[in-house]
Amino acid sequence: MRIGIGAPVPEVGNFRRPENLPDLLTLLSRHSASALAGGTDLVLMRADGVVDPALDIIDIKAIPELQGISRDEQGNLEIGAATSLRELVSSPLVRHHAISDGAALVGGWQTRVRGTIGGNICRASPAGDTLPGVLVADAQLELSSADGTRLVPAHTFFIGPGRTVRQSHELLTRIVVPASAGDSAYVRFTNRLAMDLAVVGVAAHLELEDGNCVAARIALSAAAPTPVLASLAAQALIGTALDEPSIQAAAELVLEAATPIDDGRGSQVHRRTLLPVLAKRAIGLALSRAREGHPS
Amino acid sequence: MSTDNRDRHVGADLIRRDAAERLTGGAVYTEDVRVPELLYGVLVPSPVARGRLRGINSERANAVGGVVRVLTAEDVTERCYGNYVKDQPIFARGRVRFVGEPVAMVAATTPAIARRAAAMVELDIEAATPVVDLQSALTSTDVLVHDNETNVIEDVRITRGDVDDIFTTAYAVVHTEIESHRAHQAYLEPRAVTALPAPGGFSLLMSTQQPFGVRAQLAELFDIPTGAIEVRAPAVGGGFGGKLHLQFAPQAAAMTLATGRAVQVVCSRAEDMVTGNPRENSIVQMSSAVDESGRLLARRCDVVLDAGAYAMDTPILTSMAAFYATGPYRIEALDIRGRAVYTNTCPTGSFRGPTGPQMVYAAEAQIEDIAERLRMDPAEVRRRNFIDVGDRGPAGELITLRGTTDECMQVVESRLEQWRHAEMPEGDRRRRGYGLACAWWSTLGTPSAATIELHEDGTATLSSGGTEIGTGAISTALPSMVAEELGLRVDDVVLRSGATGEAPYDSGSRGSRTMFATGNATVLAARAVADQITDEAARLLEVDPADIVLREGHAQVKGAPDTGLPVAEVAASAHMHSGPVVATGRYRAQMVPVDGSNLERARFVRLGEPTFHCHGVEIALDEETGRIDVLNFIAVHDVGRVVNPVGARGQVEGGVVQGIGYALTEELKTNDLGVILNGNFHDYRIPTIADAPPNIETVFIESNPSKTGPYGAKGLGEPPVILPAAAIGSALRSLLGAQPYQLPLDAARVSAAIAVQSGARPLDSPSLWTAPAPEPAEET
Amino acid sequence: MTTRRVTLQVNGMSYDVPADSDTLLLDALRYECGLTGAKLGCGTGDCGACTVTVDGEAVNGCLVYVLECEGRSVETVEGATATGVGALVADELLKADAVQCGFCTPGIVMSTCALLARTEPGSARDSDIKEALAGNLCRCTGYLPILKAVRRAVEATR
Repeated sequence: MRIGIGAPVPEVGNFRRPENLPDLLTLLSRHSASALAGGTDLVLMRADGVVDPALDIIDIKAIPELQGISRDEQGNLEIGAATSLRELVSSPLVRHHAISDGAALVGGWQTRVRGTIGGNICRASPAGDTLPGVLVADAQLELSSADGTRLVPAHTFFIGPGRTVRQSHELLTRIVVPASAGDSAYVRFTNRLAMDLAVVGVAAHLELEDGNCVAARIALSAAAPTPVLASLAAQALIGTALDEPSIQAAAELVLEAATPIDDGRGSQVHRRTLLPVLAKRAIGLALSRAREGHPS
Repeated sequence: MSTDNRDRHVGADLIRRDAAERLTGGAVYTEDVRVPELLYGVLVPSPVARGRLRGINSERANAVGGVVRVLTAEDVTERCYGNYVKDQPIFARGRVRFVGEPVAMVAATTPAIARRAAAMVELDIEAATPVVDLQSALTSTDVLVHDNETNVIEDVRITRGDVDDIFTTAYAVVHTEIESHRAHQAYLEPRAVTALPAPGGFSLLMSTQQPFGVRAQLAELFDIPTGAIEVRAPAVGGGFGGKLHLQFAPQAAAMTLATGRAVQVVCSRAEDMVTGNPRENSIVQMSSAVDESGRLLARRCDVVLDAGAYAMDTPILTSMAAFYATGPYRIEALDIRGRAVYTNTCPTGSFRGPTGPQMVYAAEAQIEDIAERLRMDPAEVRRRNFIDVGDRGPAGELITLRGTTDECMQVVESRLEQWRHAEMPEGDRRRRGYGLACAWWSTLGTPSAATIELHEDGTATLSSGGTEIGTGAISTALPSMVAEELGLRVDDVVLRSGATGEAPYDSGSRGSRTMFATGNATVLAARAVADQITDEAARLLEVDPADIVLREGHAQVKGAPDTGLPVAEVAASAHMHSGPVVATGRYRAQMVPVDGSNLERARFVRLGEPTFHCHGVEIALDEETGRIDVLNFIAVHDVGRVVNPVGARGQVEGGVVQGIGYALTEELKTNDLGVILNGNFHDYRIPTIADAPPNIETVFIESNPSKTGPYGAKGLGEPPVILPAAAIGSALRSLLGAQPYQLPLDAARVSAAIAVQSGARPLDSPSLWTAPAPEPAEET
Repeated sequence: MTTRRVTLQVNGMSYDVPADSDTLLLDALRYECGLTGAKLGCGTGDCGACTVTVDGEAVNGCLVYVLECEGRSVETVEGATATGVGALVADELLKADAVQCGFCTPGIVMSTCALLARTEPGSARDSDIKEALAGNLCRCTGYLPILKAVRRAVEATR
């Protein structure tokens, strides 16, 4: 074998910091570039050559539309893609929510100060901690380009490890979480209690009427090549009173959606053991939030 | 931030003298060193674990602007280096033996250029199938890592008495087996060295635990007189055994010799994780013959250590493992074998308490396996066998200190009892487990020297060969000893240490020896200086020297504190009358006699002065996930007199958390191709502040002072790290009825064990547990 | 891009440093500003030894580009411990014997300063401290003296 036929001295791309969205999208339309949000993944990927350092860097943090969390008149939640994980965790608008549960678990404080929800989504790691929350929220992801804007349902956004339907000239600009009467939660298993990546994670979203479950969604992280919805498990909850046997039965069904692998972070066997346990706990936590929020 | 402590120094909590500069960013570590015309060195690693190196093409790398030189094996001496077996080349020559082995090195004017150019060095390697698995390397000669007949590089045996006979006739024979994993020292400062040209040789600024050892090995490797090499350790960002070796000093020095310029090599974390010398993985098989009352009559033990691709210090660790196979127990008849085996993996080596964690885990699991067989309380089995004064240790060495393991264990037992009766928080459904482990260890008494000069201004300079690696033993404890002996304020003692050019020899910060051996050398020097001052004061005051005491910067006549002379004045007077006030202390532990054991090919013949230890733990087990959390921890140590209680507590707490990491979350994983899978700080999981137990109680048994250590002190650095895995294993056993054969006790393993036990999954491995099912036939 | 010179505000002083798109804040501080208090422990944001503050927030200097920091205020351990809260934090760490090898210490100081800056005086609880410091690995102390020192610093700012 021969190795080390390395690239010649690489050209380093330019660094740009547009101050409005049209300028930014124009830049992206001209040639592909690295959109820099928190940089907690991008800096390393450029250094390792996973992302070509010859690409320009476009720092998206100066664009006002990409920042912040707000609720519109219909009650839909709109999250700017460059909103930091830390802001997400501390925002009263997304308290006790699977997305903020996940955001609170990413890296250390230093990571969450910098890292963004949009970055976490576009990185599309199967183990990304905010992604199951985005899936169970049934969020729409807004992709913008110089040509216009399209909304992509989160559950069709991820197509493989690190791969999404976003085109290189597009930018993820907003995460739109539709108004919902439901409550959600995300729990994961890690070997350390902090600074770790999920062995597996489960998010659950429940909507209750008169104590009965009328809608449910469950999603898994680190259980498949992408974050996935566990639809059979969710369906099994609908119509039940969310009593222990119903939750237990539904939790077992998450395995139907899981195709976990053996890797350095966990074994297939352990992941299959953990998934129903975490599903039960995520459902339980979402349920207690639902009951606290809507005392019946 | 005054460090003055006017009354007593030894035995009082000492404020770290070198902490302020570390807190404000002023301390200089090797990576902070900048010198003019500095070149940055980057190594070209082997991408494969085994292969024939057919050629290296560095033309393209050489053509990169800013590249000054590329070195390969062609350009350097053919001599190899190694602590005990000289098997390691500076750059791979003809063959590569592990992934990450240095094949070439690029020096350039910036780190970025050097890294880029290193990636452009083309290696032509004919890859071959490596031997990665320890058992395969031991039993097969299909793949030989070096040109030897087998992969076994060390084979030590300790025998005593008629083990076969005792095993045949004993009431019961109990067998225990364990397999342990690799763990990385994971010091926060990656390995780093800066080589500088010097007349006739070179000097090094290096993050090392033993500058003198580095100097000696480099002198031999480069055939340069020892004195032409200076090695200086700036601030060292942790070592834990990982910085005892030459690291990349040979490569940096070779580059400096080749270019005549200063060369700095700072490992990236990834490089550090795959080229270092982690704690070895091992297999330990242990059998004991016991009588009905639980007395240990004889022990067989077979320990196999994975040396990786080069021997480093594994040969001596093999002897250590054999010596520690008895645990802190009296066993008359022994047949202990220790072997080390080459594999095509990253070379292993010392890690704080080398071989300790797995030997303690095995020996304590064995005690519990025995207790289970005999239906006895394991603590009672221990109690009936603890080694004590007058007994003979594994080498046949007479134990001259009281054995205090029982005292340590009693403290732990009473604390476990309290925890058992504490109330559980509501809603926490995890099961609680309680366990303990006992161990002994010994303090290395290898040579050290120190020079102290008392100046005419009444201040003193201590020149110690010792190296401060973060414990405070050198920076803070040694000056306090000088102050204690000479009646000075600590602030009046200036320390020079960590450089071969500034102080006499010391054998390095390792083996729990620093406080003990450098302390002894320092105290000896201080007492000689005190004698000189006392003599001069007695002459001036016209009294008997025996009547002089040194206190508060004065030489006083006993009983008449107002009569004294300032030490400064006495020192100045000595200069005029008898000469400078200066003395060197030299120390090497006296060897206790040995008798009765037969040692074959052992690298040393006896353990040093023993220390005794017991750790206890309360764990919470989440049975659904396999997760273990440590809720409470108690560490009881007899390390003799404690010189600096706050520093000693820091050693214990830090060691315990490292030991917990080893037990639960840390494992350096190597795949079948010899590639390390988690050479980074996210997947190699050292505990964070969120993982550390909320409480670690530290207790010192100080009633058993050393007869040879300074102020009765023995060594403490290593013992805290060797017990936690065994204590946690014991606690897990209290919940599951057995403890896993393999370490670490991570959630996946524990979860699998629970599944097997509950019948949810068939027993897929006969060696899931430490002990096989009892064989009734043995119970005669 | 060609390397250009940018002005970096560090510890209240202006530094003129060369930078291209991929120049890291940590490298600029260490190589250009001569401020070596922030350490390169892992380079992947996993250890926190390079923690500095940018506009008061703790960040890993190994994961921030210099060009993101134009017009912002960077503080390192050298500046932080010179006065005020940083000096207090350093003193508590010293008194609690929370410094061993010292390599993680500058990062611990900076994460603690950021915690004290963003919380009401005296209000940070153990869970807040652990959350703030989980990204700062220490291999020597076992963390207990660090926790103790930060608790005292929290108390002292009440």
